[in-house]
Amino acid sequence: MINNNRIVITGVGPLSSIGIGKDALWQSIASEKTGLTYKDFFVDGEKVDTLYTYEIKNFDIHDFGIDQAFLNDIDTWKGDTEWTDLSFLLAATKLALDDSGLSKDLDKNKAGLILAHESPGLDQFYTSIFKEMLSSSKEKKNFKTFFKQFGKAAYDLQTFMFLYHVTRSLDLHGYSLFLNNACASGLYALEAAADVIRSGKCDTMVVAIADCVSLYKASWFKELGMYPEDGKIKPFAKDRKGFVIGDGSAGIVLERLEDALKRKAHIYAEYLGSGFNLEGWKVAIPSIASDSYKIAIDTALKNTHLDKESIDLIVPHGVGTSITDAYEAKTMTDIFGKDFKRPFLTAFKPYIGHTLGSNALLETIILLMALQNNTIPATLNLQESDPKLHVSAVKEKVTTDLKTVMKSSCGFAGFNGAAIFRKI
Amino acid sequence: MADNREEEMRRMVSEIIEVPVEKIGLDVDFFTDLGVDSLKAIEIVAAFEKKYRVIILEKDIPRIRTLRHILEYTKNLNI
Repeated sequence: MINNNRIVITGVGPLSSIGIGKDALWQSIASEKTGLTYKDFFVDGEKVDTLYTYEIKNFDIHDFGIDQAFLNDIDTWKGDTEWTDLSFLLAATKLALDDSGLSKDLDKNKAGLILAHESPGLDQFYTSIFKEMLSSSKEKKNFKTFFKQFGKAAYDLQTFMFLYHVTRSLDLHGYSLFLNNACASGLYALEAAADVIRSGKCDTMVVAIADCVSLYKASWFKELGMYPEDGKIKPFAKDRKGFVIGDGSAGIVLERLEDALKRKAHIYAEYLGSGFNLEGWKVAIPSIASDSYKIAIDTALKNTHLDKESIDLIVPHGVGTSITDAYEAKTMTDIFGKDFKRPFLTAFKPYIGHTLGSNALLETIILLMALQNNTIPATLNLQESDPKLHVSAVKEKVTTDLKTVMKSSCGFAGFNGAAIFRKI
Repeated sequence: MADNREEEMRRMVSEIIEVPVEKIGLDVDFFTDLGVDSLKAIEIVAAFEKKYRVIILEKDIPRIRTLRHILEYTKNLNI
């Protein structure tokens, strides 16, 4: 394959409950630390619930070397509204750019951005509407008063505003997109970014995706019966009972292999390609009868001209629910055989939580670190594998030569995808 | 006609869960009486949708536990 079509990853910028930055994150993974915490949730000063979560701690947007003038400008624009979602996206983009070493040398007109977030700005919006509902203010309420109070905040829900703030603050003027493909967003975004570079539209692409914990999101999953009362995510375990959500943000820089070699950049891996399929059945329930997820993984192998034996390690969605784990296990065993020993399989959500929209990209970063270190982190909380699944996730850390690895995802609403990376 | 429909569905369920038709009484619970797991239950729903060209609402899926539930659902859909 000619070099200018080969795409590599040269920068990563993770933010998680177990560390901000790749070194802190990997150190925590290597020592099997988790970011699980038990937290009270308050709305308008009143405690509403206490739930397990994974929280990013000690985050300050001022710690990332972003021009203070832009941060002040965002503050002024936002007024009283918190901008956590935007700040996570901004921080991840900056971290990844800094890690790539490109921050100063970038051709800004050929540097683009893809952002993703499942529900940007919505938590803050819900909270402000909820507060208004609870308020006993006697002020007359009509469209005018509503527009005055909420119009600006509603305007800011428009996803182009996130692109605006991030690209402006970091001087990125190339092609940009905002996307949302539920839990598989990271894989879709990587492929879109690679395509932009392959087409010649940009030389460098940053992908950044974020999500954060909120009472609304946590309540939604609890209502669906997907929240484990003991707070433990147990992928592929006999006693799995669901997942806990977590804060998470991830930024990845992609560029052409020849450019990376020319500037002697550190290369995490080559992005070989991916496969996707939209199941189109239900939202929260995958269709056992369909082969949509299998098609996505088979397509990834076909597009990258690899056979299944080439894959050393796969990190699936591994969300720890009864049905989705079974769905993933059925797909894996259909492809790799019952009780397959290779590829190795592990899952990362017990370390960092289910970070929703950012999960596929953040877990890709952990996967790239694993590839770099030839170390497969254990699947935590896995006392006993579910024998009905015929899948054995790694229970203890494994040190082994890793060359080609796969990240797969089967998101809500049937977004199925798989991406393959190879060490150079 | 109603009997035909019932027999048709009984055969469909029997095929999916690999249990003889005579064991699938109208009020026999798929989960507690026949040991059907949630995956198989989803397969039943998907097969039912495909056969009758209908969409079962996601929120209704957990309530479908017996052949009678499926038949009642059919009546509600007027098929």
